[in-house]
Amino acid sequence: MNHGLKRLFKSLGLAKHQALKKNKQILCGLDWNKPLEDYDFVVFDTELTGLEPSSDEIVSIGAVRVQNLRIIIGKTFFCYAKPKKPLPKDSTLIHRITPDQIMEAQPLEEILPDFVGFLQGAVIVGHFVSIDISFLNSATNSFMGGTIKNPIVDTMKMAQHYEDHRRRRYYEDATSNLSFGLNDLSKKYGLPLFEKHDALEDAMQTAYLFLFLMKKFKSLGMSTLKDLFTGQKKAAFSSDQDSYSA
Amino acid sequence: MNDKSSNFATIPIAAFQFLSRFPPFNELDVTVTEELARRLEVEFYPKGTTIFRQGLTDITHFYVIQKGSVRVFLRSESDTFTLRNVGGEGETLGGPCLIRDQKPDVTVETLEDTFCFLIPKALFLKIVSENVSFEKFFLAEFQKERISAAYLETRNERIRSLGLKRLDYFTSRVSDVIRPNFKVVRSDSSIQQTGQILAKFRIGSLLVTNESSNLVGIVTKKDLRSKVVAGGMDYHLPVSTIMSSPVKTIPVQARLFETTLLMIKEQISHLAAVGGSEILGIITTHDIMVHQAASPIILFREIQAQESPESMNSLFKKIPTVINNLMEEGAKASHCINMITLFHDRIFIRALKLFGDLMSGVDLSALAPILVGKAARMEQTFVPVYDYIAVYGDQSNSTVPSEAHIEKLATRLNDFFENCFGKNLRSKISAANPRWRGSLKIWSKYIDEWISNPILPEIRIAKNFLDARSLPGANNVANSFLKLIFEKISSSENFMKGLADDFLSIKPPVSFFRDIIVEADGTQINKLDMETRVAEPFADFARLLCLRNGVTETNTLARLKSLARMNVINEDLCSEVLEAHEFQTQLILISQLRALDVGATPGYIIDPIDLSDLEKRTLKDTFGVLGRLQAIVAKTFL
Repeated sequence: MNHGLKRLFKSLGLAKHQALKKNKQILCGLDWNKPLEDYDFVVFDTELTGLEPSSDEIVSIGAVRVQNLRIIIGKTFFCYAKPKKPLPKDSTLIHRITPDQIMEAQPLEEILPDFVGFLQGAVIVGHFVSIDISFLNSATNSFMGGTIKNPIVDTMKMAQHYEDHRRRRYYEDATSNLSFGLNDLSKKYGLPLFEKHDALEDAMQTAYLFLFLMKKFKSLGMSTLKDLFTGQKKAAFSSDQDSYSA
Repeated sequence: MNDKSSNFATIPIAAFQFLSRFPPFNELDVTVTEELARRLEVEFYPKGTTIFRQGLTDITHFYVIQKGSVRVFLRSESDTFTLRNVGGEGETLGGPCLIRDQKPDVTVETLEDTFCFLIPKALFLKIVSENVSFEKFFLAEFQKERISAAYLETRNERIRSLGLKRLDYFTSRVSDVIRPNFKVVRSDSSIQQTGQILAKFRIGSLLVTNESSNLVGIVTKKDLRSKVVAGGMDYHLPVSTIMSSPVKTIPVQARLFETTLLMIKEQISHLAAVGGSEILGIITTHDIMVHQAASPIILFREIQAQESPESMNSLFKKIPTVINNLMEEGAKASHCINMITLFHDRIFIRALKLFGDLMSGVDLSALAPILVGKAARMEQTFVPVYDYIAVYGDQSNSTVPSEAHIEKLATRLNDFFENCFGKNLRSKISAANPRWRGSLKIWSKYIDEWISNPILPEIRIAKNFLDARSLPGANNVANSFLKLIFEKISSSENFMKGLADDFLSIKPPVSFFRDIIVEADGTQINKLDMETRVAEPFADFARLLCLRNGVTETNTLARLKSLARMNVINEDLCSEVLEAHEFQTQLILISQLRALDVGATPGYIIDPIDLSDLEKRTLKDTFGVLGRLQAIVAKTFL
């Protein structure tokens, strides 16, 4: 039996975790027509052992809360998670973490409920976020008996849309080979730069990018969460895996 | 397990490090800054956003700019805008309003896309109440703690790095010290003739050559003293009988260290310095001692002792070294400029005497050389200024030198100064110009002309003569001149108003923004002329108010102190003005020393890139002080 099927069976027998239920409860009452300032956002990033959700694992999560369209520096979440399998020796994805840090950490199943609790019904934000979400949902499915249904915003797609808009408006060269990587965008927009240190620092960098893009979109007339998802180019903002209709 | 491996919020390192870099946070206890960092929020203001509006916005947070820039301006009732500040990273906004619980008295608008750290009002006020320095930072514009920190920073980081002070054996060479104008005597000359030459040129030694001009020996005063006078030798004998031979030589490129070693080893005090086979000069133990000593007293004495204008030349190069040492030992910059002026006074007086002596038949005692401008104010820097005029009594009196004589003397003096200081010299006014020499009657006419028509270029010229100080000479003539100009100008309302207008016409810059200086009209410049924009305005203010209040001092600091004693400016302002004046003087001297150290031409232009954040901030406060002085002048004269 392959690994994925094992997990599926496991989850079938797992009752939905209290934190997931609570998160969903908050989301049920979500009003899509309030001003953007009224929503809570959680900007997050993960560190992975590789890119294959069926075999690779999350080894670190960093997140920061955005309220009233301000980054709340004191409201952060950060953890390392001890993987089930030993770390691949040459893993480049996790070069920022030492094996000791990981091995001292709690396993992901013990940490996940805290992270779901941290989400508290917020809109999830990430850069190229679909991969992080698929790992996260795979983990919650295995350990907590369900997936996260929060609306999801991808800052990379926001940036692509913003660039499209600028090109149309200022006739900028459409062939310019702009990179949509987090660092390149942060430099291009003149954001304060963070050292690429860990998942929290990346989440923080993403939060600055998010703040920048949100204010720019607001000045273009976008004012509610609904506008953000459907107003202009729905697909351009929300992640492919978004489940905002939850 | 460290903080980061827990599931809780960690200390936001980047925010903490950012705050720790800027005042007033850098003075807080680390734990307080940590608490602050944890409670920060980040807000983004796109370019052109108004962060708060004068008299309207309720300020709920204290702001620190993390990235970007803002302009701070004031809108008057008549709807005119006055730029108050342009701030970049680390600039704080809203502090005074929060402390005073008032609406903002200025409007703040972003000039670029700007990220700010926000500190909630309650937390900000808590920190203010618990940290006295924090409150002071926001309420006092020019506070002592900050300026003394700025002084120290400037001194510690700048002075010590200078190589100027190292006049040591190991870097200086014979060529730095030798006197090239040595004299030679033939070996068959008599001892008496030799003594006469030594006396005539007031020198201590002579080289001795044979009939084919080859160097055969050296004769010193000591030889005359010990062998001839004490030993009872016949002074008609040839000098070859008392000379030391052969002469020890040292290459001009040898270091002083080796030179001293050779002198000790050979037990001699004189060496001939050679370049190849040619004799280039004589070097003595005395020369080395004088060169090594960086004491002002020795320098004064040496200037005084020189018997020819040419021989003074090498002494000028020592002024920066002497001053650098004094500053290193903690001398105030304002004292240093006085000291530099004393050196130049000494040089002027000595040169005047030596050139005067060369002009036989001219009696200078009826001539009053009067220093004007910066030299008169005793504010010379390493950019010497020899501005002087000549005033004399009645020319029908036969002892008064003729116009031609004065012109010749002044031209010689100017050539001499030019020769000594080259491109560093910034003199503008001298008695070589017929306009700037004359009898009291002629000067009186000039002054009347200025008073009757106080227009701009003339006002700025006349200003120099209001700072006037006589050098030893015809003292009664000088005193009459000083009294004349002071009384005439101070009693002319029109001229005084002209001076005030001129002082008010140059608005001090508003602020620094990164490495750019922002002017009151919003334009940006990248270099600051400390002389015209900072030093001169202080002098202008002091002069103007002293004229108005009958104070006859010429030095800016002395003038300011007199004004404070007379309660013309209040004690608080006076101490701020004195501190600001001291700070700008130090900044000028140190930047000039640095230029000299790397072989560049010293000047008054400062590039903000070379200033630390603290120095920029203190200089900005100095602009603020100048602004307040302008307000006083505007109230007094307009």
